[in-house]
Amino acid sequence: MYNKGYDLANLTLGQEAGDVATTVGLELSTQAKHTVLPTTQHDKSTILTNLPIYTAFFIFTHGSQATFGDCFATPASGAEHYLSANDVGGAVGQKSANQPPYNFVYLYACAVFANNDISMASSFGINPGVVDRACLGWPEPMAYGFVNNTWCENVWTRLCTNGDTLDQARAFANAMGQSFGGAGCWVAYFDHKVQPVIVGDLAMKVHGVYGGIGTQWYK
Amino acid sequence: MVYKSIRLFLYAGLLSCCVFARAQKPRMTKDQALQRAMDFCKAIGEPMTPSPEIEFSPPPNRRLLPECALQPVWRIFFPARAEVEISDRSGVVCAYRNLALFDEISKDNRPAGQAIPQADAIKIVLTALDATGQTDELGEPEAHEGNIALPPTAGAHSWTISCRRKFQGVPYHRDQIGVELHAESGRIKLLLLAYMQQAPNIVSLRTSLVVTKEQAITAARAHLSGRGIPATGELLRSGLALVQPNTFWTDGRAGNFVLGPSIPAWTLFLKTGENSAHYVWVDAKTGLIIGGERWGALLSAAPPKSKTPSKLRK
Repeated sequence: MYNKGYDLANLTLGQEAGDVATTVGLELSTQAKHTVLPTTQHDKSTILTNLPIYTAFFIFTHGSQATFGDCFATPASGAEHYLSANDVGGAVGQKSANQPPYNFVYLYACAVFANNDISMASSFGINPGVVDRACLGWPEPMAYGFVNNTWCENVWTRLCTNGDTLDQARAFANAMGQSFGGAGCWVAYFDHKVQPVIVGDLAMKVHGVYGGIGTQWYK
Repeated sequence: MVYKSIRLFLYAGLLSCCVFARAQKPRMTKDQALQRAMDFCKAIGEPMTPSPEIEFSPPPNRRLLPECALQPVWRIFFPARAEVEISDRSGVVCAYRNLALFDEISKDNRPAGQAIPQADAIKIVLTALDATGQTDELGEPEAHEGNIALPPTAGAHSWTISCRRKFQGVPYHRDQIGVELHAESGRIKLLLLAYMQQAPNIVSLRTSLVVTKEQAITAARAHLSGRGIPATGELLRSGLALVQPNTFWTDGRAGNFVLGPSIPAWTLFLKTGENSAHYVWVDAKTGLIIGGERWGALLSAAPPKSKTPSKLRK
């Protein structure tokens, strides 16, 4: 079985980043039978070194178009703490023949897909039309907090525990809402709602791929 | 003595298990649950498949699930077609997922086309809500057309419609009904009664509203100042809502809710920094601070530009 999850959080954003990453890691390891490396301590170079190993990727950090931060990035950090699509593509390109491609990438960061730029997804090997592989991110600035963290946790719980497809998991999280001043169903920025976007297969599941536990597909 | 305590503890545990097991005896019959599910599918115009699987499911006792899922439910699964959940206590359809439609649209990679008009989408949702049998007071539907796929596809084109759950005109802070339609066909993908909160333990809300909005804002700003949080920022949103108090102001965890009836409160969302804001919930009767949330932004200040040109950049 080759299901490996890389689960990262940037604690400069507060303990809640770690809490969300913990939920993601637990879901991936206990429910979706991935071997998970959870960390809050990896810098850019360590992440780039590790990227070829994994098939699922989650990070809770700062971001901008085609870029996301490492575990220490702050809004003021320079390129030494931010991974560009070029950086990621170079690292993922080092995968050996025995290292399967990325199945699911979740970038809990601002605006990585801004201006319809999908180069970060492409760098993970995920492009439109691909089957059983997907990358979820945001096209504009987004906030974090209870509402959005719960949205994220709902997506992972539905994917891993319930065996939903990514689109089903997302729709469930939207319907749950958890309030945006009481009335929301989107992940929200401070004064408006922001819809995430998915590059790749809407029907992607985290179960049953790459020799995983096929019986755990949900009905 | 220690032994005795352990035995007592075990007996108590066993007893509570027995009580719990007895409490899980279903009120509806299997046939009644199936009939409710079939009636609902018929009302929304979605076909069913023969040989449905039906199971009675006690509360999963898991967080992150709506209130209806924390109660015993009947799960009716129409193979390769749909899944319906019926509340055993009320007979209300609390969840519906159109598995066949999700499957169908995930393969539809044609460019996005024309969505059905918003008024039609809302009409479809109201018909479906009527068919659920739910009787809670609801706010006006809020509709949003969107496309989850990048690049946008016909399959990922959707209407998302939500209605806030209300009590005597005041919305619950977290509760809503969420429905997603395929925007181009108007078919329902998913419907969920996401009720997380308990009803308030009051007869008339009017008698509970003692604190004015201005008084609440003053209390909220003083509360923030007392914690060293900048409190002079813009009031981004404000309103009366029914909240379930949380322990955010004592342990920093907005997800730690205090079980019990919902409480009417002023929910005030104040800008507290360039990239942060806080919710402060002020009890509308006592003026006490009974919960809140912190929000931050995930944007880098000086975004380093990608050197990789996008294939799809406009």
